[in-house]
Amino acid sequence: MPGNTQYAYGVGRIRVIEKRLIDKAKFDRMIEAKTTKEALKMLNEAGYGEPAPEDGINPHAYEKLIREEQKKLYNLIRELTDGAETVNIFLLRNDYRNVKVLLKSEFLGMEAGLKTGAEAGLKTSAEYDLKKSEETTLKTSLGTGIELQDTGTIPAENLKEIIRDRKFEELPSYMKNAVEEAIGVFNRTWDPRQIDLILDKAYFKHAAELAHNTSIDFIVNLFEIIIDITNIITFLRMKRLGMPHDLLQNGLIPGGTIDKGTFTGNYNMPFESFAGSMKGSMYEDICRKGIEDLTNTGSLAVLEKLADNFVLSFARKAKYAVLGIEPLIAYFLAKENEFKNVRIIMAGKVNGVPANIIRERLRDTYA
Amino acid sequence: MELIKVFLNGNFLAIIGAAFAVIFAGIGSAKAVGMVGEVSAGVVTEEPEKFAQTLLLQALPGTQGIYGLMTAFMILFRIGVVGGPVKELTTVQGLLFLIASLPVAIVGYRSAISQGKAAIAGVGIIAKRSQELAKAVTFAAMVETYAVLALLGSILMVWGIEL
Repeated sequence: MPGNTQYAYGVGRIRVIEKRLIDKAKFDRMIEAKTTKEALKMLNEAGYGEPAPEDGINPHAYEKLIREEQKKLYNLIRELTDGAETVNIFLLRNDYRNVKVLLKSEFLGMEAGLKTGAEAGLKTSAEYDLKKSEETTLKTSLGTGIELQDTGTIPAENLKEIIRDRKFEELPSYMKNAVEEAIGVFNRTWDPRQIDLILDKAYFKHAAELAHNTSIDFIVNLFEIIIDITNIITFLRMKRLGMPHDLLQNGLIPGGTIDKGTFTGNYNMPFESFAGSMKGSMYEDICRKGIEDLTNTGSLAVLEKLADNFVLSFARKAKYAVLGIEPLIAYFLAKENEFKNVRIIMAGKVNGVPANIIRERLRDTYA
Repeated sequence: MELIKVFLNGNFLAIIGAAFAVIFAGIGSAKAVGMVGEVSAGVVTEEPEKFAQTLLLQALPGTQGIYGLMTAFMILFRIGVVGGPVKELTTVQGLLFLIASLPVAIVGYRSAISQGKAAIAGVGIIAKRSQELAKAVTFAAMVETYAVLALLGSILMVWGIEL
């Protein structure tokens, strides 16, 4: 018996809990809802909390509910895995996100703090646009309020202290190096994009190493896929914006299955040439359809959706693993995917986006 | 020299056989029942009304341990340790008993764990649809066939050894 009986209890609980994920039929009903309030009510029936009375008329109340649900998810996963290193790989992202917020707010001369979901959520979601990625939301959020999320591996308040008092030696080495580099580069260039670039890259390197250390094939492959997809999106985005070649060199993350040369070699060629190079790889479909849409509409929305669906379909493979940490990770990814869908629908409802457009943007569901 | 004599003693070998049957089939069952129990506990935490269904599935891989004990009992009975008088076995006779215990010891161990996995998958079915208990039990019970066959093999051998 391989030593994977460790999470047996957690697997049992997840088997029941995953039934409560919002399925396609429920999402469909939410999309068809006539008012934001009606959609919010359906969200509540699907297990999300009740909006606070003072938010009752606020169309952005859903963001707060998602934050609450997110917190519950992190606590559940932490509980079921007993703080296993494997899960930290996924939570680490929030640490890096917090570091980015802290550094940027410091450079902008603002005080970052832990806000309740309400304040933070309301401010960010006001600018939320269907086309904007999560990252952009974070950046715009920096203009109005600075929020830390307490969902990482290091408590946000500790992190704040570490950054403020420059006690970097308490950080994991990847993070420490990245923070030092980011500060150095920012002081030279005054370019806040560099902070994102450096820390994102460090996150992926850090996570890929931890993933590798688990020697669980599912997790190693999952991170390879995530890195590949991140690189594909970085490549297409930079190319679309016509950024210089050396920025791409710097922006690509090592550790994926796609050779760096495939990106750099195709940078000065038409988009179709890159799609051609992807032929025969598992990303063939994503690239072909995504690039088709990119050349027609100039947007990466279709590609991002296909990429999310691809990651989810990979996670689905773990759904029927009898034991092991895989079903827990798969549920975690499924729930994050659900948050994304809820945001797409609710932001669409709030902004009066037609149902068919929302449906187009909607990601697959895990159930 | 004394030690070699002990190891070549027929009764000694036969009792090792009996012990093997109990030990390996027992470990297999204990592991499997424990695993299914953990997963079931997870399910019951969320939906306590599923206790009975999951308990039934948990019990399935427990039979191998019983088969091991049965085989051991028969060996002990045949050599007179149980029910007496104790017979003096030759080395070959003792070895035959030892070999006869292996099917139930080895197949019992492996099949208990395989059955445990099938039962865990069955608990997964129960978590989703509690009305499908019969199907869940059937899948896990299929594994039982091979534990029973191993038991049968062991018993035939134990009874067939001439004393």
